[in-house]
Amino acid sequence: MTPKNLDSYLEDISHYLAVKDGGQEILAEIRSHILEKAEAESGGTTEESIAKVIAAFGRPQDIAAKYMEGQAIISPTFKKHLFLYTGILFAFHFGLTLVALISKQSFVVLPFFYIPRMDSLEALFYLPMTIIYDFGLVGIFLFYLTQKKREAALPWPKALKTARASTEMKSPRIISLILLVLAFGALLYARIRYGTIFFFSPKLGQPQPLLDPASSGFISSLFVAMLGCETAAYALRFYSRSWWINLAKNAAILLLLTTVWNSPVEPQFHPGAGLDMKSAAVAFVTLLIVLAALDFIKSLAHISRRYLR
Amino acid sequence: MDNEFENLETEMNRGFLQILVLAALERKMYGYKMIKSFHEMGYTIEENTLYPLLRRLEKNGWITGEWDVSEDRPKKFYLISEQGRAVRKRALEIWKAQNDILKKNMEVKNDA
Repeated sequence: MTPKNLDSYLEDISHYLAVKDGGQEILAEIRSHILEKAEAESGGTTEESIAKVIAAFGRPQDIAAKYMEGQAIISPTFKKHLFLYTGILFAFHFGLTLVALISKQSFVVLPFFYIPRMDSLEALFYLPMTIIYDFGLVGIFLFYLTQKKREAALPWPKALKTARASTEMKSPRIISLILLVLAFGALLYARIRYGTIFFFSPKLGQPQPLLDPASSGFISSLFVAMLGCETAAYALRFYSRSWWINLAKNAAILLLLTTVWNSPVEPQFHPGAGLDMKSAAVAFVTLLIVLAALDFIKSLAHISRRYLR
Repeated sequence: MDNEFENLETEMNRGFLQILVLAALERKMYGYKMIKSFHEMGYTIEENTLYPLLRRLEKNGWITGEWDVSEDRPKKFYLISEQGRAVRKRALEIWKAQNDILKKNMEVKNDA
């Protein structure tokens, strides 16, 4: 009868041992070795003598690793590609998420993407999941290449070859910060004092609210919050010029912009404002979303580059 | 320093061990016997290194393995193949050539 500790040791090895064939034979050979050594050195195969031999033989994961030498799950040479491709895929996925937010529609981009209909808050939970999904998707692709031993030369975007090595953000200027703080203060004051930050002036010196009171307060607060984010992020640059701050700022601004876009209250413009104000507002918010999205992707690229050095 | 030297020793042993096993398997042997035999000659090999190596050599077709189940405890015996002999011959030539280069370099250094 085989001592229990030997069975348990071999079973542990089998959990780590991922060989195509001959796994049972490997275990049988190790079993034979351990029993013979225990008998030769201790005169019998008791649990104690087996335990001594097992201790010298090594940890199950180390044993399995030696049998699997040279059998990487994903080739180490693909490490940079794994991060780079995940970043590119995420940028694409991020763009699709924005489209879903703006269009208020769910859609499929064959063969891999299903983008559900969502609101801004749901997008906050959805985006981290997309990173995991994209990482997995790229991982599966590289795993396939590694296992098939395809010696494919994987493409590397030209833009990254010529990109500047510097990954630091520009130094902040005190005058810019003062202007941002003043603008933020002015908007905050207008929001509190008049309930809106949007005005038009049909006659010189006689400003009037541009939006109806029902929608004006909510949308104004969102724009004040956006400028608050921008100001806080700029002020933080005096302490740290990390791209993570820029990334977080743009994520917050995008969240606020998409909330404006999906505002439950349809904004009503003052009839005396003239022009097609609704189209102008749509164009303005679209422009802000595109700019924030581009800045978000830029921050992501700078952060990724640190891992790609 | 010690760690680095250990790594160097492991790297050096990697090639040497393959040649040694190919040399030892001119006669049929099983793993434990091989470890004892090397130990008696003054060379200690870790058991968890030898068995994976034997498996690799067998997969390459350089040695053949056969289970002997005639006793209570089955053992797997190994023997060098013709392909293994050819590999061993080439490996020894490389080893000798490397040794000559090393010797020449050491002589040059000693002359200087």
